[in-house]
Amino acid sequence: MSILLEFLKTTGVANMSAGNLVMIAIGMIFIGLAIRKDYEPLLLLPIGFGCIVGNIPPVAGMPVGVYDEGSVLSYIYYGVSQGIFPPLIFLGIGAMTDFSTMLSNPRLVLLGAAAQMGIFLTLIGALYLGFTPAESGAIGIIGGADGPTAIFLSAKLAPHLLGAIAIAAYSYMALVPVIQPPIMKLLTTRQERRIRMKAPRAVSQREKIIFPIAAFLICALIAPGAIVLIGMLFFGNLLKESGVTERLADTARHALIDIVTILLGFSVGCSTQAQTFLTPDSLLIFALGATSFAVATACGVLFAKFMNLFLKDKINPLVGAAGVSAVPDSARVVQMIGQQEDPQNFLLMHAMAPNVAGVIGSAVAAGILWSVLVG
Amino acid sequence: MLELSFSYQNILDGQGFALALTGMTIVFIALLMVSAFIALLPRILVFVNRYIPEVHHHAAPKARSRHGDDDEEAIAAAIAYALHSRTTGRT
Repeated sequence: MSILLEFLKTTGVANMSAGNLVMIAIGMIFIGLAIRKDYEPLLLLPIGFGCIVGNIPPVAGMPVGVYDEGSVLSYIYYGVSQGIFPPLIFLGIGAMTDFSTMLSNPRLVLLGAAAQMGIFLTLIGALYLGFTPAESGAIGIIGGADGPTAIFLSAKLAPHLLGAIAIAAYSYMALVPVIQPPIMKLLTTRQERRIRMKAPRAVSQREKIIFPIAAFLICALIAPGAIVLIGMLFFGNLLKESGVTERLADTARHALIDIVTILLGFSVGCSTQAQTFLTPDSLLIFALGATSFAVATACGVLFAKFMNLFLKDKINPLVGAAGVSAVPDSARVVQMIGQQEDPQNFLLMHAMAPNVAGVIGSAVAAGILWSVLVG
Repeated sequence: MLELSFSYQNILDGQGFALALTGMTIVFIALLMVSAFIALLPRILVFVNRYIPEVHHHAAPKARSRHGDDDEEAIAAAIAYALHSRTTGRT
C-alpha cells in the first residue's frame, strides 16, 4: 500500500499546477488552429504537442524535460539552444526558393528592407520597457516574421527568452492572414489597391546561378554575423539553380527540412514549461511581437507608397506588406486583398519578390544585432 | 525575471536610437547593393556571354520518386483497361 501511495505522489496528476494546465490548453489550441484553420500546421502542430509534452510535471530525479541534463529531449533541444536547426531550415528554404521575380524587378528588394524597420522600432520599445539591449534585440527580431531567424538570434542573445520568442514568432507567422489585412487596408486607398503591375521579365539560368553567390558575398561582407543563415540560404538556392545537384536540392527541400522542422517545432514546444514560460516577460514579449509585426507591415506598405512618388511604373502598395519574411503567407495575403478589389489583378508573383528579399533582410538584421549586442 | 521599469532613460542607456538607426541603415545598404547588382546583372552577362558562352550540360540524375512504382502503376492500369475492354466487348 505504501508503495502505491508513494507512486501516486510521483504521478503527473499529483504534481500538476494550474500553469501546466494553462500551457496544455494552449498546446491544444495550437493543434486546433493547425488542424481546423490550417494556420502554419507544419509548425503549430509539433509546437502544440510539444507544449503538452513539456507540461507534464516531471518526477524528481528523473531527467525527462528539455532542461534536465542528459534527458533525450535535452539532446533534441540542443539543436535549438545552440542555433543548429535554423541554418538547416534556411538551407531547405533556399532550395525551395525561386528568386526569379526578385531578379526581374530589383526595385522590390527595397520593400524587403523597409519591412525590417519593425525589428529596430520594437528594439527601442523593448528597451523602454526595461529589457536589456541583448534581450531587446532578440525580441525585436520577431518583427522579421521569420521563425528560424528569431530562434537563432534569441539562442545567441537571450537564451532564457527563447521559448517565449519562438512561440510568439511562430504564432504571429501563423496569424499573418489575421494581422496584416486590416493594416494594409487602413494604409491604402481603393485606387492604390487596384494598381496593376508590369509582368516580370524572363530571367536566364545564368542569372539565377550567379545571384546566390554574389548576393552572399555582398551580404556577408557587410554583415558577417549573418554568414551562417545567409550562407545556408544561398547555398541551398545554388543547389537548386545549378542544375547539377538536383538530388541534394531535393533532399534539402524535402527530407532535411521536414526532419529539422519536426525536431525544432517539437522541442521548442517542450521548452514552454509553465514555470519558465508563464511570466510577465512572456506577456510583454507577445505584446511587443504583435506590435513589431504590425509596424513591419505598415513600414513595408508606406515605403511602397513613398517609392511610388518617384516611379513611372507604379508599385501596388499592398506588395510592401510582403516585405515581412513570412514566406509565402504574406505574399498570399497580398494576392487575396488585391483580388478583393480587382479579381483580375494577380499580385502573387510580384509579392514574392519583397517576400524573399525580406528573408535576406531579416537575416542581415539578425547578423547586425548579433555582432553588436553579443557579450 | 524582468523588473518592470518603463523609462525613456532605458533607451538612452542602451543606445537604442543609435542602434536602430545604424542597424536599419546597414540593412538598407545591403539590400540596396543586392538590388543594384541585380539591376546590373543583365548588362554584365551581355559582356560575359560574349567570352564565356552559356553551355547546356547534363544535369545529374533526378532523385527517384519516393514511391518508385510509377511505372508499375501505369502498366497495371493499362492491363486493367485492356481486360475491361475485352470483357465488355469493346475493341
